[in-house]
Amino acid sequence: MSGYHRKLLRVDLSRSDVRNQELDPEFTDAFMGGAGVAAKLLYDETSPDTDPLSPENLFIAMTGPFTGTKVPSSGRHHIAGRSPQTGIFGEANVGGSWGVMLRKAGYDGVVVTGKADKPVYLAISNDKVEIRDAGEIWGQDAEESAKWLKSKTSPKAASAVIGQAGERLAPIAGVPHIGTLTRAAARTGLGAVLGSKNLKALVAVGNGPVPVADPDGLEQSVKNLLKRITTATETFGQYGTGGGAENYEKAGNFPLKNWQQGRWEGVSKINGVVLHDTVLTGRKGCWRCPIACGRHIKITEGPYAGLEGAGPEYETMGTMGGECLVDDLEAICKANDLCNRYGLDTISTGATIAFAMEAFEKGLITTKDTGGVELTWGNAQALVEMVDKMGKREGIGELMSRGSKAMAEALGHNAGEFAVHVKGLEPSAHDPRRFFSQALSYGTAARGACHNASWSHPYELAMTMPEIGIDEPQDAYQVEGKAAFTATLQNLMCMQDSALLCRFTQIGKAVTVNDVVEWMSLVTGKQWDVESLMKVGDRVFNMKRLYNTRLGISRKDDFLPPRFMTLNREGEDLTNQLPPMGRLLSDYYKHRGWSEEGIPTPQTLSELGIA
Amino acid sequence: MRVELSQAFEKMAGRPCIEISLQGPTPLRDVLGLLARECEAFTKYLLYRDDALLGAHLSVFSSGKFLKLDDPVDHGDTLKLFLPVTGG
Ligand code: SF4
Repeated sequence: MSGYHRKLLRVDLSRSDVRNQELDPEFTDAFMGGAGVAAKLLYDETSPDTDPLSPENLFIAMTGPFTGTKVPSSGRHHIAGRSPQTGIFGEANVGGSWGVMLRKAGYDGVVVTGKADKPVYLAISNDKVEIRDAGEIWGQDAEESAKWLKSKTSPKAASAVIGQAGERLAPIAGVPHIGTLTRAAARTGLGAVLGSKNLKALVAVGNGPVPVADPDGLEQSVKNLLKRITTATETFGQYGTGGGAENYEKAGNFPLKNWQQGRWEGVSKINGVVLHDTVLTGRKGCWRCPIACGRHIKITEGPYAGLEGAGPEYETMGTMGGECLVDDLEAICKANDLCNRYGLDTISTGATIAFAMEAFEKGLITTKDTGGVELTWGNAQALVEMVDKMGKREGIGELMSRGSKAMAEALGHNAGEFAVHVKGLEPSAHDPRRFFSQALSYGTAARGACHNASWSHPYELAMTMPEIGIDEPQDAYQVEGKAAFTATLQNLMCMQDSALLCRFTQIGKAVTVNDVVEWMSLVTGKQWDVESLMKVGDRVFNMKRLYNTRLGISRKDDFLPPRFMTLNREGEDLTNQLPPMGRLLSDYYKHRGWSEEGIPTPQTLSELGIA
Repeated sequence: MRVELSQAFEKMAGRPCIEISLQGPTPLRDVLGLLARECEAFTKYLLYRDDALLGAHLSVFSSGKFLKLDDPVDHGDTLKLFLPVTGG
C-alpha cells in the first residue's frame, strides 16, 4: 500500500541513539496513521506504571497518509504520550508545516524515549538526524527559540518547540509548532513530557517526495473540489474560528463566569469580527489549506503596543474572555501571545484562571496568595499577570500551572465543586448543557473534556453528513439516538485524525466522507469505502479507551463535573438543560459494545481486531 | 417583522436592522428572499438551498431557537442574524 514512507524515527535520548524502524503495513492497515498509530504504539510500549514524566514515557509525533500530499487542509499531525496533566491518554492534533516537513524528510513519525543528560534538540534534515546541544535556548520562549533553531538549521525548518512552561514541567504545558505560522499542540501537557526528556525541540526540514499511489488522479480530484471548499468556508476563513462567538453566546454555548452565567454583552467586544476589524493584519493557513483560518495580528497602541503574531482562536476567546468575563480583546491577544511563548495550553490556562477567580471571590485565595493581584471577574490586567506567573511557574502560578483539578485538590474546602474538568482536563468553550452530544463527548473522550473528539455540536445546529447516516441535524436535547449520533461522529473524527485532515473541511459540506474515501484510495492505492474508513475510526477510538481502562478508567470517570450536572444558568431566551448523564452513558456503552461499567467487551475488541 | 443584524451583517447592510412586512406566516427561505430585495448584499445567501449549506454562512435566531429554512416567520417576529459555526 502506498501513502507511507514506512519509516519511523526512533530516538532514545538516554543512549543518544537514533535509528529507523519499519512501519508495518498491518499496523497502518488497522490504525491508518496519526492518532491511530500513536494510540497503538503508546498502548504497546508503555505500562500502567509508566510515569508521564519518566524517561520511559513516549513522546510520539505521527503524520497520516494525507499529510504533505495535495489533499487540502492536510498539513497536520498528531502528538501523543501519557499525560502529565491527567495521568491518562494524552494527545493533541496540530496544523502548520511541521508534519509536512517530517514527511518531506522521509519519515511518517517520530517516537522519543529516554532523557538527555543536558538540554538538546533533534535536528531532522532529510535523512540526516542529529541530537544537538540546546543549552543556548534553554530558558528562552518558544518564538525566540524557533528563530534560533531556524538560524542553526534552515529558514524552511519547522520546530515543535517548548517554552519555559514545558521546561519547568508545567502539567498544562503544550507544544507550540512554529514554521510558516504558529500553531499549538496544546492540550494534555505533552510539553512537559518533552521538558522531562530535556528535549527543547524537534526541528524538521525536508525536500523529498511524499508517497501517493496516484498523484495525477489526486491532483485532479482536489482541483475539482477547490472551488466548493473555498465557497463553503468563505465566511469561516474570513472571520476565523472566533467569527461566530456572538452566535454561540446567543445559543447558550459560550462559557461565562466559570460556566455560571447565562448572558453576557461583553461577547460583542471579543469575537472574530471585532478582531477582524481591529487588530487583524492577515490570514494564515496551515500548509496547503485554502481555508486559512489562522489569524495574524498587530497591536499598535495602548498597553500591548508592539505585539505582533498569532491571534487568539475561538476557544481562547471563550476561556480567557467569557469564562473570566474579560471583554478586553487586546488583553486576550496579549495573554494568548504569552501562552504561545511560554508554551501553555490557552484552554486550560484560561479555565484555571476562571476557576481561581471564583476561588478568590469565595475567599479560598486572597491577595496574599496572588502576590497582590486582585483576581476579580473581568480584570484584564490580572488575566495577563496570571498567565505570566503560570508560564514562569512563579508564586501562585506554580499551583495554577497544574490545572484546575490539581489546584482544587490543593485548596480543599468545596473547591472541587466548581473546578470544571473531566478526568483532569478542562473543557473547551462549548457548553454541554446546550448540546447533549457535547456532554457525551466530554464524558467519553479519551483525553478528558474534549469537544474535538466528536466535533458534534455543529451537527446539532445545522450540519449534515448523509453518508454516515446524519441526514438531518439532530435535536440538541434529544436523548434517544444521541449515543449513536455521538459515537458515529467520534469515529469520524478519529479517522480524520488518523488520515490527517482538518475537521473544519466539513463546514458547509466543503468536504464529504465520500471525498475522503476517494482521496484515501488515490493516496494509498487501496480501495476504501465509507464503512472501512469508519471502522478504522471505531478501532482507533476503542484503542484509546483500552489504554485508559488499563489505567482504571471506567464509568465513574465519565460523568461531568457538578457545575454541568446541577447548575441551571439563567438569561433571556436561554436554552439550557442539565444532561441526563446516567442514561446517556448507558445508551452509549451499549451502542459501543462496552460493559455497563464502560469497558470494551472482549467481543467488541475481537470484532475490531484489537483483542 | 424586524431583522436585527450583528456586527458583520450590520456592516454588510450599512444599518443595524431591516424592517420587512409579511402578510402572514412565511417560511424563512422566503423571508431571506425578501431580505435580499431590501438589501442586495444578502442575495448570496439565496444560493444556499439547504440548511447545512446556509449554516456555514449564516445563523438565524428567533425567540430562543435557531430557525431552519422551512420554519415559519410571522409578522411580529424579530430575527437576529449571526455568523455561524465557530471554534475547534
Ligand atoms: S482550516 Fe484552519 S486549522 Fe484547519 S488546516 Fe486550515 S488553517 Fe489549519
